[in-house]
Amino acid sequence: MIKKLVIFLTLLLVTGCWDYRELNDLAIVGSLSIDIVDDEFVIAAQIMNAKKEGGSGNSSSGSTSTPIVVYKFSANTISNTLRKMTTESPRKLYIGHIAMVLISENAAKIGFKEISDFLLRDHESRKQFKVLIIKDNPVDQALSILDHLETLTIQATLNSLNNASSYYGNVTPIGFDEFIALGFSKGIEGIIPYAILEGDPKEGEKKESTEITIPQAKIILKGLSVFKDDKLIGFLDDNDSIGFNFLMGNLKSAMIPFKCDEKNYATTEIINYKTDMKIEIKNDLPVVKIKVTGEANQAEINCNVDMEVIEGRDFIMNLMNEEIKRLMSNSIDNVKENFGSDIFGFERYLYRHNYKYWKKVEKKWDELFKKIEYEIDVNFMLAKKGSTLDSIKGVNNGE
Amino acid sequence: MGSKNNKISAFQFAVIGFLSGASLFEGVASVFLLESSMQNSWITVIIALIVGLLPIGLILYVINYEPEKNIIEKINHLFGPIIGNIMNVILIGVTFVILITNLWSLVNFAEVKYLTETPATVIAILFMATVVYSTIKGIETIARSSEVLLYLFIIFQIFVTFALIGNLEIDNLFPIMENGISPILNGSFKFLTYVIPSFMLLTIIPKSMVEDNKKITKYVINGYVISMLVMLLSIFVVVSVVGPNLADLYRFPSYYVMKKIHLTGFVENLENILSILWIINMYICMSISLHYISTYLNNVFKIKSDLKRVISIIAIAAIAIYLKDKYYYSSVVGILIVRNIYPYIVGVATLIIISIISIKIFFNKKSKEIQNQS
Repeated sequence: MIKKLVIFLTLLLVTGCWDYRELNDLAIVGSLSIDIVDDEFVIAAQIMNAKKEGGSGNSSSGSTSTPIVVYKFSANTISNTLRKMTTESPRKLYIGHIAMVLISENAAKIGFKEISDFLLRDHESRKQFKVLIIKDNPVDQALSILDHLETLTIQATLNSLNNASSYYGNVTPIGFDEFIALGFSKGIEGIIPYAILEGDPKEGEKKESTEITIPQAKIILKGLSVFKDDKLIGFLDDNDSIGFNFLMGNLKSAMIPFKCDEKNYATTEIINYKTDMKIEIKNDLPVVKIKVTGEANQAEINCNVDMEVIEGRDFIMNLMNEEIKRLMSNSIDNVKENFGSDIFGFERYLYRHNYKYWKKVEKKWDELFKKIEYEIDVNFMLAKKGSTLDSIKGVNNGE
Repeated sequence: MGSKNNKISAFQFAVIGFLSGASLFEGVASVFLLESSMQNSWITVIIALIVGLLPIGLILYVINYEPEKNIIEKINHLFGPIIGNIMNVILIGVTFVILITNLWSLVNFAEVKYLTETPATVIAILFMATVVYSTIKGIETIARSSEVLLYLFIIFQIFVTFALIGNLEIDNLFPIMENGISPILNGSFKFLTYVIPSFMLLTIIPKSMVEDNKKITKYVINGYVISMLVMLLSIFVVVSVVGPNLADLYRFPSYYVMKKIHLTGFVENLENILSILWIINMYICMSISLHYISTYLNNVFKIKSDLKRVISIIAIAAIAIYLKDKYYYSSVVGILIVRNIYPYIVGVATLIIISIISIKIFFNKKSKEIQNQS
């Protein structure tokens, strides 16, 4: 009898109904934007409209509401701001499904550590969401824009980030945890991709804007932002961002356009590559040696080059190698001269592989970095020619 | 009940040690290991492995002495009733701290990761009920559960390691010993204080209770070495996947690292299933701790009836839950206790008492030899 009673009571305890929360009672947050204005956090939360998304059967309500709802509040801490949102939202905010956090330029300049603690500490937050800086415009506007192709705006931005990283190379998706890790690592500074808003965000948040073929407002990924000691100090342009990603081995694929005669351009597509970095000490100064090897496809050749002969292929390969070298050199020079922030991790390399020397130069590294010398050796092979054997102009010339 | 099931194999004996040895690794030992040694944590574990062979040797020396007696009877026999009882009470205190710390560690993990709104006491009661049940069933049940859970443990451990191989970045393990050997040595001694006391609990099982007891020494040493190697592998994977700085930031670094497991694009969030690894460790350690305390009470109060034995086990479990709630009332306090008090109260006390017993056994044997010769 006692046994049966114990089993019965245990069953009651393991039903999983203790302090349960129904999905209907939660507001699932897809994205947050964080700004700091007058020492207060200004937080906007993009909430997935489950009523619209789920197709609850109420077609009339489904057709009139937007797929997302944005709440915006300000308070002295992030956690408090999110709680404050319950004064407006009929549901408690659930941040376990955040895909991306957008950070204003201003907040990033104040410092990443100012905004990190809650996101790192909160048990619901999964920490692997991506981070993106919004340059110039108010960051919350980026959350309100509706997208034509994706129901959830933040999914559209996330897809763009992944695609731009995979196929263009000017950005690298950075997870919140990865950025935090960079912040705590010795000898390397952080980078975060940044975007700008184009068009009229006020128009872009209207549902009608998705019924027009040309988007009224859009988020455009521009490149990488540079940090120093957790504070945003500047932005890299497209080419410098690609150069940086090349050097760091972050690229998955990229198009490399270069002049192949006075007027025309050719483009090669990087399909795989490897970057090796070493730092040697010469005359008590570090010299960075970068070696890049890989394979590329001929994507487009608009010059009069005979690709059937070795000389023609070598000609294109040399130009491509030079262009890649230029991209990387420009990126290093720009960062050295204008930012003085070791986003390449040269110091980290020394810390890990030449600790004695690092200990000696640790305190004067900032100055040393600005003067650091480097050598880049690029050696790509043309692996595939594409569907045609020769360039169109080359064929015409031959005829 | 328990008294009927009293034969276990040497393998099962060693498995209890193997699993309970790593019970405080996640969330406790790994955190302090990273704090003290950062990227050199793996070296710290290797040194701890080697140094730890000495106390393991002493524990085996005690186990092999008077095979038909458990440690409580051995102490009483060696030191007489007064000193013997004092030493036994100290060991019971140590065991209670091990039991409570494991309970807190488990409840805290469940509370932080899954059951944030459930009262900690309810989680503790639910988990303790399982531990009480296996302890009531006797040492054979604990041993059999250990053996069964061992295979699950191995499968999960191998899966985790292979799933994370692609994320390993060996560069995260550099520089090596940049601050010399002393922080690593300190770290390894402290690390051992979380591992060795669990092996001490094995002394409650009389050697004669083990069927193939000639293999005990070999199996226990293997169990200890493999247990340390598993922890070495875990810390190696954690540090090389996320780097020492980020790993140091988290309360459960392995749990965080397991979040990185993505297989074929859709198999993810496996950390929630895989965290059963540590629950297995804690379950076995708590079972053997409870068995230790219950055996002591049986000896002191000469408990013969099954009902009284069951009541005593439930009472110990209830006291453990009460003490956990009283002393480990918040995770901040809990961490302070396991960082600043546990190593000295549990680790050092265990080492001192085991050393004293070993010395006494050694001199007893010597005097017997002399008597025999004369």
